[in-house]
Amino acid sequence: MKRNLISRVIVFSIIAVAVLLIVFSAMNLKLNSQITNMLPRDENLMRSVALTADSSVSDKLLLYIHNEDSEKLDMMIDKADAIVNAEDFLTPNIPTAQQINEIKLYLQKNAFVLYPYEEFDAPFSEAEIKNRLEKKFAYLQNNPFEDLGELFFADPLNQISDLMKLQFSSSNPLSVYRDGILSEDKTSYLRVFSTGSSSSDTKNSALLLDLDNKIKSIAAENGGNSFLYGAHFYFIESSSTIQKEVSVICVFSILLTILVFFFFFRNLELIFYAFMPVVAGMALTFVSILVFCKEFGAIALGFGATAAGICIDYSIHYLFKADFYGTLKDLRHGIGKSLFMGYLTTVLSFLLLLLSKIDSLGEIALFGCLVITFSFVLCWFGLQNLLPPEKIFYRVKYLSFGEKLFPKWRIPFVCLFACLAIASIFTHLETDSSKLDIQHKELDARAGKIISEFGESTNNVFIGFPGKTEDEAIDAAMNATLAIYKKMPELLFLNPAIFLPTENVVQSRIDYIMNNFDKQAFLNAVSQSDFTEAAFGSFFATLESLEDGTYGLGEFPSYLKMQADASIAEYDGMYYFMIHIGDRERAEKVYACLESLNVNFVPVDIMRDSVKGLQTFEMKSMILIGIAVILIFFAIFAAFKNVKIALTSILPIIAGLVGILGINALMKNPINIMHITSAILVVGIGVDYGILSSSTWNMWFKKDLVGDDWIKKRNSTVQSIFAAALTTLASFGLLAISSSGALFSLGISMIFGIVFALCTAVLIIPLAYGDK
Amino acid sequence: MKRIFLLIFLSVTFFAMSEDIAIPRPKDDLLYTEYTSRKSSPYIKKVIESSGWLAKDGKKFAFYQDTPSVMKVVNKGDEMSLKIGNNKPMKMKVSAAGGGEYSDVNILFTADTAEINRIFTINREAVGSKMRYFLQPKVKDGAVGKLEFMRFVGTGDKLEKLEMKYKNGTMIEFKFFNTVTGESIDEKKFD
Repeated sequence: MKRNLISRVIVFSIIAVAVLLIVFSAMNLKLNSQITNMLPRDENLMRSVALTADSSVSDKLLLYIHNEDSEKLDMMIDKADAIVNAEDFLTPNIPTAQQINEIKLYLQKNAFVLYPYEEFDAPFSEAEIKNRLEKKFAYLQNNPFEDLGELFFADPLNQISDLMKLQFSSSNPLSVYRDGILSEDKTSYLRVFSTGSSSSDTKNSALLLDLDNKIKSIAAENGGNSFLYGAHFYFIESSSTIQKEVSVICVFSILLTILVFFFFFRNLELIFYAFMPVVAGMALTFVSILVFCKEFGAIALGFGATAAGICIDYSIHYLFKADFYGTLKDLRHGIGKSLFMGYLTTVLSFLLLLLSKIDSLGEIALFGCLVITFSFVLCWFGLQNLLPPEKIFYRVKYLSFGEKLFPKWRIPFVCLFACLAIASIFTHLETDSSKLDIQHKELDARAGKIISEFGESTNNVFIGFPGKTEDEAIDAAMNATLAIYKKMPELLFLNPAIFLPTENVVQSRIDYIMNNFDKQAFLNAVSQSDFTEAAFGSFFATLESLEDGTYGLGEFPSYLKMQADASIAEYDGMYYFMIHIGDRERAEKVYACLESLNVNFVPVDIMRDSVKGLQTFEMKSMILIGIAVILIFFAIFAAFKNVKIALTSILPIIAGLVGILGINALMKNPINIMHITSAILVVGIGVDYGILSSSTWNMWFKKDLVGDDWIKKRNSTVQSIFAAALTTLASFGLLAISSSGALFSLGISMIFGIVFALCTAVLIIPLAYGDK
Repeated sequence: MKRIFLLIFLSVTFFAMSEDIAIPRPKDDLLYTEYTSRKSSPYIKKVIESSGWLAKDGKKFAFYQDTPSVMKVVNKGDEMSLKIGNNKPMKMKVSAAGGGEYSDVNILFTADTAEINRIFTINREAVGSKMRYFLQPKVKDGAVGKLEFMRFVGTGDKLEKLEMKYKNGTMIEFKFFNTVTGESIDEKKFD
């Protein structure tokens, strides 16, 4: 009694401390739900991920307001103003009136040097100067408020309008209005803000959600529609949804696992003994991750929440077999090898995930290896010593399977297997990594409104112009804009680099002007125009400064400088000038145009860049799984020195893999990295069933056990495999209800993989040994 | 005694000097008038002529040009819209920062007496039934700072003629006719 009391105290204390450690660790662990963590670390992809995170778009937030009534629209804008102006972390992205004025003055003063002579024809012939002076006078006639000052005459050739065409070549019917823009029908309003934090930085999550609710309440009070939109909300929604679901799944999976366990053992106290290694193993795993990892993937944590279903297997197998042996030494001699081989093959299958070079799978591997190892060790040294066979206080509820084991189920199973085997031929690989995320229906609907009403795509699609220095990158971007303008102006994009030429470019233009501008031709044209020579004093002063080398562009306008600085990103020692394109279809056209012009650039599109890497990874993984199965065969052969045991042990693995491929082919789901992860797990788990089943039926085959002893042994093995499979299904199966594409894929594949492995272990392996 | 008279005299003078000079204001702040204008400058060889109308209703102000090209500027409170030809209007918020941000003609019709007196030194003389005004800017920056003077003639609450001379020699002359004050203005004029 005293011994049992001590054991109870130890078990309950361990569980209590473990639960506290799990809760503490879970609350303090920083979660990462970026989808890029589930993509292979391809060089192009890593570059795209880094540049996108550093881009000028990553911290943007859009305010959208819609109302058919223009007065109500104004009222809603007023209310939104009051809300957003109270937040000091939001910076408007549209230039203020003062900044616009600064830009205008800068352009007027420097138009002569900003004009791209390297791509455009120089307007220096007398006829062209005359033509431009006529247009300038016509402009004056049509604009009564134009100031006839120095700056107006600093650009006699009206070169500013040529520069503007480089940026606003495509017709843009949007109206500038109240620090934002109006849609063409004037019923919708859009304003852009910078938040100062990238989309994956969640420190402002609560603030952004609160702000969004306040903005939405404006529409609730006034009709119409109003909301905020930005990449931040995708991260927040993914992260919070997965956290909530994983919490619920974790609780239910533990409850279901306990129910399954209770069904077979009918002893409440035994549950605590059985779960002690699992809970303590989880606690040690969580603490290790908290101590050694800065942050952890939400998907890996989702997997971890269901790992109880695998870890409990060691307790189940031990508790079933403890009934057959008198002492712990005898038990370890009898099934020790099987238990250890089962543990080893499961851990090896997790370790395979490390070869994927995918962060998320690496985290699953780390979690899996740790929790399974801790659980196995605690089961071996903890549970087995606290509850050795001589001290068991329970009786196993043995199910009766009759003399023949499910004879009627074999043919239906074989038929189902054949169907899925045929279906698996039609498997194809996933190319769209976004399907691993949850569906963001509301956010996608918001994006759809913005795109349809403003024509502005919200996708993170960029062009990066590389350079060894910032100046080189800026030059590359400017040259690309000029080249595109000449070939396909309808594809032009906004590029602040046009207005901020580097020193080299400025000098080359000055040299060109000095060699080609004919002052006399200019004076001749002026004498024939409606302007007097006195008008162009400021222009002649600029010419003089160009001649005597004292010319300078002056300080860049603050708004343009800010935009240009935000456009430069650095990666791996190179600088990239990033231009946001947004629309994928348009981006492809721009890429094709730039390629035809031999312009050096890099497309920056995470989704596009992930396709090739994903497919390569998926293909390589499937080959790797095949290799793993062969290695497992040799490992089992080396342990048991028996070809038949080795061969039959891998049958559940093969059946499980067919189940995964076949069901996804029937459901028309392309194979993604989570299906592959589940395949690897099924390899590790299925081989347990195979080893247990094969080693048991081998005894029957060798006539080591006969009669009632054999029936008892057989039933115990089958029940043990059933219990293990049911607990695994109870945990992983629940993942199939998750809205996350990744967790759903893992769940559905595990269900079919485990069921097929189980059926093969109890229906087909006996047949292989002649037990019909 | 002498001291008392001096004190009274100085007080009256001071009071008279410190009183703001009002420029003609349309009755009830409602105004519609047509105009022709001529713009000359040492920088252009010929005079630029234009015509159109302008309207005011309280804080709303509209300026419309029909020759040589169509253009319309509308101010409603702190919002300004600019429409050129058949293009869609551009709308933006305009912050009034002292005298520097007012457009030239706009200031006479939208700024109040205190503001006008803050920005300009005003002299006036009566000539028959008309009143002549001469304004010189006190500020040196912004659009008003570029003016050398403004000169206009009005009868009662209506302006007849306005001249603006800039420091760079540019001269703009407005003549107003068919002026109506105190009557409500069609709202469409401010669209």
